[in-house]
Amino acid sequence: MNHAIEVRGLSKKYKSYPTPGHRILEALSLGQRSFHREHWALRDVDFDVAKGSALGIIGANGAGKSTLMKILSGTTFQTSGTFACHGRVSSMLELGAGFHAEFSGRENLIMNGIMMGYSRREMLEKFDEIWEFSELGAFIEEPLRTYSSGMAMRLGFSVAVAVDPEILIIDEIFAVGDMHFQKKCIDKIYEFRERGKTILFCSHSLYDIRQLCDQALWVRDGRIARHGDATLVTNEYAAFERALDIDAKAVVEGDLPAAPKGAKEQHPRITEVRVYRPGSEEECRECSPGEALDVAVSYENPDPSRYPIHIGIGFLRSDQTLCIANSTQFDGVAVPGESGTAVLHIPRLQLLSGTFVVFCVILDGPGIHRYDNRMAKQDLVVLSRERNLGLFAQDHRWKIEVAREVGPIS
Amino acid sequence: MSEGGSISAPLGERAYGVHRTLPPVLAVFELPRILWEHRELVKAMARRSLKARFRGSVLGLLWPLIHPFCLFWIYLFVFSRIFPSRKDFFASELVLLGDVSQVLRDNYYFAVYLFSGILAWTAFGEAVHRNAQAITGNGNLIKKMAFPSEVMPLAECLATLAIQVFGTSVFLGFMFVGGLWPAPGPAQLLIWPILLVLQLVFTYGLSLIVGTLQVFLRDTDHILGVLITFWMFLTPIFWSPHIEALQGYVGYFEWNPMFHLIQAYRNVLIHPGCDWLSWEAWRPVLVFAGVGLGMLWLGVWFFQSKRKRFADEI
Repeated sequence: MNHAIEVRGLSKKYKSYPTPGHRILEALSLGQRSFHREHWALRDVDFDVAKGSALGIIGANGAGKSTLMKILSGTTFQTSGTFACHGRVSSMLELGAGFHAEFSGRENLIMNGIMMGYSRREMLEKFDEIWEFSELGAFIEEPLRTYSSGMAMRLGFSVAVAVDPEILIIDEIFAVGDMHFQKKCIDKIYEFRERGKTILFCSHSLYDIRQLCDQALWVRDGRIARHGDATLVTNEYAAFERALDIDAKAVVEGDLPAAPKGAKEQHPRITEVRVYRPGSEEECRECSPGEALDVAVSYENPDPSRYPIHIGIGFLRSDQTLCIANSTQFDGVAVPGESGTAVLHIPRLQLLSGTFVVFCVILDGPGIHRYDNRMAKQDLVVLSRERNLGLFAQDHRWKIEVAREVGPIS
Repeated sequence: MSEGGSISAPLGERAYGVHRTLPPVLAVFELPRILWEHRELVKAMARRSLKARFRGSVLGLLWPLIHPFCLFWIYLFVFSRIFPSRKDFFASELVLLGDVSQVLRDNYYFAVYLFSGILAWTAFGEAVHRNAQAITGNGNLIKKMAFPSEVMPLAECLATLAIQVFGTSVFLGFMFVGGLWPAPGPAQLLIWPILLVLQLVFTYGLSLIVGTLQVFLRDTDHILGVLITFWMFLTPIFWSPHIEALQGYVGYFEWNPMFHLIQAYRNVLIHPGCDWLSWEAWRPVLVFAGVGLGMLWLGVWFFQSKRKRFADEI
C-alpha cells in the first residue's frame, strides 16, 4: 500500500437555478419538474498519489481543480465516486479563512489553530514559533483589521504550516506577502517535501509545479487531460494554452512593409510551405528538440531579372515572440529562376516546448520590401521529453569547484 | 483503513477527525461524542462569539450587565407611570406570591415579573435569529476548512446563554433590593441550571433548522424576524396566563413550548410558593424537556441530511 491518495471515478455535479424562486418551485413540485441547469465540475476522475510524492494540479480557471481540492479536503462532497486519503490531511485552500477582523493577530492565530484541530494549550506552546515565522513583530497584538492584506496572509500561512500533516493539500496560495516571504513559503513547502510528506499542489505557476512536483495532473473541463511526469505535462499544457490564447497569424501580416501595389500580377509569390522530417513526405505537426526538420518553400517569380528575391523563414511563438529567423539574404544564398523550392534544413532543432508558427516571406534584393508571405498550414508543436525551461536548448555542461578551506594563518 | 487499499469510506469526513457513522436520522446520538471531541473548538467559538459582540466597545463585557440593569428601570418607569395600574394582572399574580403584604410595591413586582420572562426569551430569540446566519454567514469557514459545522450554531447559543446568566445575576440583585429575595429559595435555584440546559437543547435544535433553511431559502432570516416577534407576544412575557379573562385559552397556550419554559423559569425565580414536590411544578419542566429533545433530534436530522450541500450552496 504505497498510495497516500486514491481517487476512483470521482464526479461532482453542481446545480444552478435561474432564480432562488425556481429552487422553491422545484422542491414544491416533489420531483415532477426541474428548473435547474446541471454542470459537471468533475467527471470520472481517477488517479493515485504515491506516498511521499508531490502531485501538481494544473488547468484553466473553472476546469475543476479547486473542486477536486475541496472534495479531497472534505469541505465539499462528491456526487459519485470514491477517494481515500491514507494519513492525516491538512489543507490550505485559503489562508486565514477563519480570521475575524476585530480580534488581534494573537487571538486569530490561536483560534485558527483550534479550528484546525489543535487544543488551546498546544497552540499556546506553538505560539512563539508561529509568531516568529510570521515576522509580524509587535503587530501581533493589533486587531486584524489594521493589517495589510499581505500581513494577514502571512499570519494565515504561518498558522497553516505549523501543522504536521501526512498529506498536505495546497490550493494556489503562494501569492503571499513580499518576495522575501514568498521565498520562505516555498522553502517551507520544500521542507515538507523533504520530510517525506505527500503533497497535492494546485498552482498556475508552471514553474513551481515543475520544481516542486514529480507528477502533474492536467484537468480540463472536469476531466483529466493528462497525468504524468510534471515536466512533460506542464509543457503540453503550456503549448495547449498558448494555442488557445493568441491568434498569432494576424500578427505576422503587419510585420514587414508591403511591396508597392499595382505590380501584383508579376510579383514573386509563395505557392506552398511545408514542414516535414527529412526523408518523409508527411507534414510534421509535432516534434521534439534535437530532431531534424526541413522547411520547404515553393516560390514563383515571373520576372527574376526585375525582381531579385530572397526567402526568409521564421519561427514565431504564439505569444508573438520571434524565436529565430533565417534568410537567404543573411546567409548569402541566391534564389534564382522563375520557380523553385527553397529548403531550409535544420539538422537539430534547438527550440524547446511550445507551439510555433512557421512563416515564410519573399523579400526584395536588399531585404526591405516584402512581396509575399505565407504560414505553414499547421502550427509546429514542440514537445520536450526532458526537464528544461525556456525557449532554446543550448550546449552546456557543469563544472563544480569546491572552495578549499583556508586554515588559520599561523 | 490504511491497509488493504479498500476505498469505501469517504475520507474527507475524517480529515479533521470529524468521524461520522450514523445516518442523519440517528445522528443526534453521536452528537454528544462529536461535540465532546471538538469541545475546545466549541469553547473557543462561543467565547469568540461573545467577545465579538462587545469587542471595540469601551465598557466591553460590562454591557451584558448594564443592559438588563437599564432595562429594568425602563420597565419600572413605563409600567408605573405610563400604563395605568394593572389591577387584573396583580389580582391573579399576587395570589401566587403568597404573602401579599410583602409586595406593596406592585409596580416593582411587575417589572420583576417582566424581567424574569424577558431574560430567557431574549436569549432564545436572539440565538435563533442569529443562527439563521450560522451557516451562510460563515461561508468562508464552511467552504475553506473541513470543519464540524454543527459547532457554529451551538457556539452562538452558548454565547447568548452566557448573556442570560449575566442578566439573571442582575435580576437577582433587583429581587434582593426589592425585598423579594428569597422569593426563590436557594434550593429552588438549583433547578435553574436544569432549565438553562433544556433551553439550550431546544434553542440549538431550532437553530440547526433555521440555519439549514437559510442556506436554501434566503428569506428565512426575514421571515424569522417577524415570526419571533409574533411568538414573543404569544408567550406570557408581557401578560400573565393566570388572569381571569384568559382562563378559557390556557389549553391553547400549552401548544407553545416557550410557554412551558417561561412558566418553569418563573416558578424557579419569582414564585416563592411553588411547591417543588408537586407534579404541577415539574410539569412545565418535563413538557419542555420532551419538546426540547424532540426539537434537537429533528434539528440534527435536518441539518445532517443537508450538511453535505452547504458548501455548494453558499
